[in-house]
Amino acid sequence: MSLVLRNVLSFCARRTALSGRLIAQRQAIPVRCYKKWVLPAYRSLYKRRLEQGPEPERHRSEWLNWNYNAEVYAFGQRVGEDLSEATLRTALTDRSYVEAENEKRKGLETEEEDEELSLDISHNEELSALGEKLCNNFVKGYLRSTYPNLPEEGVGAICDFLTGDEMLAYIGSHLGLKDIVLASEFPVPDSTLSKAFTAVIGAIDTDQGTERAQLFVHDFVLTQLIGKTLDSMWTISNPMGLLAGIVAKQGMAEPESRLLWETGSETVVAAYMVGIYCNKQLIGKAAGETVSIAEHMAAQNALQQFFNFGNDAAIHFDRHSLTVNAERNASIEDFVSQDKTQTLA
Amino acid sequence: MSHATIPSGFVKSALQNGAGRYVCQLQRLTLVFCKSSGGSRGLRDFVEKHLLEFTQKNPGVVVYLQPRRHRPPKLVAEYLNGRREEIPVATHNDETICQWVNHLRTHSGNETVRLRKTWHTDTPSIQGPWTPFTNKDTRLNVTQLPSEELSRFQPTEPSATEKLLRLAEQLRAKDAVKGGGETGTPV
Repeated sequence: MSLVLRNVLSFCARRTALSGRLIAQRQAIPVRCYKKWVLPAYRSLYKRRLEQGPEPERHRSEWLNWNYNAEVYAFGQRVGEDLSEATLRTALTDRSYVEAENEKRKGLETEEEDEELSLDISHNEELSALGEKLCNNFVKGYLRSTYPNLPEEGVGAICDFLTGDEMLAYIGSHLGLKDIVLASEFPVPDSTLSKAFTAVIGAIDTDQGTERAQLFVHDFVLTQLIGKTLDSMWTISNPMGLLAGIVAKQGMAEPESRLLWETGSETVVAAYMVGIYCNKQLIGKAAGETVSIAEHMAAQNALQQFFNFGNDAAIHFDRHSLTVNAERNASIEDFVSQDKTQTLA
Repeated sequence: MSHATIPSGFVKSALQNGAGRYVCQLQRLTLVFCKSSGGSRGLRDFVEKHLLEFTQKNPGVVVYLQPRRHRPPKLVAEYLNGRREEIPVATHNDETICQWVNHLRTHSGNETVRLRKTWHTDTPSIQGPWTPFTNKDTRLNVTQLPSEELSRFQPTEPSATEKLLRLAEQLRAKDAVKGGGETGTPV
């Protein structure tokens, strides 16, 4: 087929496509050509999409399938607590939300001037304070009874880790709090989420009693300890000094660190194993890439054995025996300087 | 596709679920269906026959019905970890949809990936991280090298002489049992 004829045919075909139904009955010759606009058009769309940046995060309530009442009810059922709707709603309302709503309503004009437009709902400050206190006391008490040899500083550090804003917000958002908390800010900040979570604990305490609230803390907060090690939650700045103090308190000789093994020194895979001896007994050992690191680790290892908080000291989460020790454990100072029994008495 | 390109992972739980109490990870379930078209027949049957029972048994799951005209039906599940899953259920009957709903209800919400192992442990090693010195005898520390004892050839198999001696000993023992104290010729 000559070039001229092909051009004519393709022209006819385009005309056929353009003139639509009127000449559709005529047999049209299909156009087989490379659509040059397709790739540039897609490229342009792609570029525009990148220029726009990611979609802003939107609250779940902006979608059509959203029913706040149902969501709140489902939250109570999900965590397995029988809470009254009023308490639960209070627990989920942040102070910032109430303030923002009142601020909005001040600008509105009413026909009757006596009518109060301010929102008459309570926020979760009180419940949150109640829940936070309960949560802290229970976590500390539980840790004290589980690890009686752990100094009070360690108990405090683990408690801070478990009841910090980040951890409570994480737990709360994984229970579905993120969508149902009423707050002025969005995305909801961690502090607000954590406050709502402690308020839920407070709500359980008011509605169902302290025991049930403690069980809630046990089931959702304490279980986050699974798989955690002591040094990931509590940093001891000078473990060797602390170890020396503890050993001296127990009337043992000063701890000596000895190099047990070394290999590959002056290479990139150097390894040293340091053991700490006390009265000719090995009380801790660890390997490290330098001697000082290995000694530091060995001291930490010895301390973990003193505190009975090794890898094998896992909690067996038994819901039927929640023992709480309100009495403080001995602090580090007691471990080091004075007699433990005297200070506790 | 090769295994190198398929996403893979390990068994994991959401929020240590079950260590304290079990929480159903399915947060909301949206049923999208058409009120008239045939493809949605199964989902409409599901709504009529099984939905009430499902909601009564699972009060922690919010169920939304979303009629959309002439659209293919689907189940949209939203999980507590923020992920959502869609199951297209066009032309499925209500029993199949029941099974899909049950699948969504019991799912953790984590991405479905190829599991590299069917088990998981937080403490994979009881002895701790391996070092070149793991299980080594500390006596070796104070041994003066080269040492005669360590330099001796240590055969992995018994030699021919040792095998013969062992055979002879076995025979002797057998004879002693048979003879019952009689004086026999020594082997």
